[in-house]
Amino acid sequence: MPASATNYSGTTGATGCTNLNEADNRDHYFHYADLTQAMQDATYWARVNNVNPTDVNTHYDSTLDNLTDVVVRDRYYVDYCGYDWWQAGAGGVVGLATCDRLNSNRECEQHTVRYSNGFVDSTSQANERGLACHEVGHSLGLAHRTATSCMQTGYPKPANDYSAHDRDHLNANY
Amino acid sequence: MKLKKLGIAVVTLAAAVISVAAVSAWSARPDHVHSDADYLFAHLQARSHSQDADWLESSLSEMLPSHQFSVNGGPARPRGSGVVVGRVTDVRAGKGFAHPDDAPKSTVVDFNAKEALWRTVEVTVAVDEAWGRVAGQQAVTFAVIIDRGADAAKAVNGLRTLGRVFVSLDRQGRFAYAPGLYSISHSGDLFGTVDAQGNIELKATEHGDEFMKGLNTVAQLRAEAAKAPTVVKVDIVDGVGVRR
Repeated sequence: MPASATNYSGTTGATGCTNLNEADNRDHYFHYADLTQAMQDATYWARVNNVNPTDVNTHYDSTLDNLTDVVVRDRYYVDYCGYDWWQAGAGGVVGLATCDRLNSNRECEQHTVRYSNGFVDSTSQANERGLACHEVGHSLGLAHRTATSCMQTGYPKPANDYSAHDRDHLNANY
Repeated sequence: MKLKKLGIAVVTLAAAVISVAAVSAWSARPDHVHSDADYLFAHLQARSHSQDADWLESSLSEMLPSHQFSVNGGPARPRGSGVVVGRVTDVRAGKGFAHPDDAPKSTVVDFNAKEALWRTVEVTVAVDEAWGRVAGQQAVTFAVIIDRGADAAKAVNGLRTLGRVFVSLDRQGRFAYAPGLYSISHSGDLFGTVDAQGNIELKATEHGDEFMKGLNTVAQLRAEAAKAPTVVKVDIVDGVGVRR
């Protein structure tokens, strides 16, 4: 079995610029912080088509507070968290999911998902959806895969959906 | 409170995940590692796991000057500043970087400042062999990035114990406070170790073997670098590099 088959982080206690930590509950509340319409649409699409068919339930959260599970932002990121963000003609980082706060069990109480506006301005709706699927997956503890899944890195994604294996992880852990 | 399902299927899957995780990369995460070098690379891998990126280069050989990229019909150029094999001779704290109000671009602060979200550790390597613009240099200094959640002392000590390393250098000027400092290609991913037999291991990146695509030793790297330049033609379509 390839290493990528074990693409679920479990509880790691990771915070900061890393995301390898599972969420603290199955009801996932999303707050959009000044998100462009394109990425609001893509994030909504990913919630409805990728996540809600699993045992995780997503909800919109109009108020950013301690009960928010995922804050979603997009900016023209340059070096946020020390990464080389996407630049035209050079490529780079297009999305990042970080865990900002832990609960007493060291699970992630609040993630932030960040999208590169530079990439979003330049790319297709399909790639926007793949990006949202990927980063929202990170906010639930899914890690990268080399198999056919939106959790594969790079673009275009081989699929804008989770694999059956990814869904098994979500259903088993939430 | 976390709601978890109970049942045979869940227990079976959890057991499988736990058993496989014991021998997978996950076993090297910071909570479960022993040496400082293991801790360092577990942290760098966690950083690598956190981001989704699209790069023009798809293999280690394409980081060498024997591969040049022409983007949208532009002039062919090698990607990055060069590839280096050498020995770590100095490791020191660099600077901290904050992003007040989620600013897209960083503000420089002290290495140990509370508001630092990430930090540079400056690593100097005595060059054994180098290819690209850095060929002929006796030493290069590059930045390894560690973030707020990491134990900086363990990471720095881990770097000091590495001995012989491999690094693909992206560019100078990435860090305004030290214009001569190189950044590592692919957001820090293309960094690893070289053993006594010359075997390269890209330990900072997930799926490093796949990126190496059979270019596993210094001897193979040397042979690949000596080949006549190949031009890779790329068009940017929907923001993504597409090879012609």
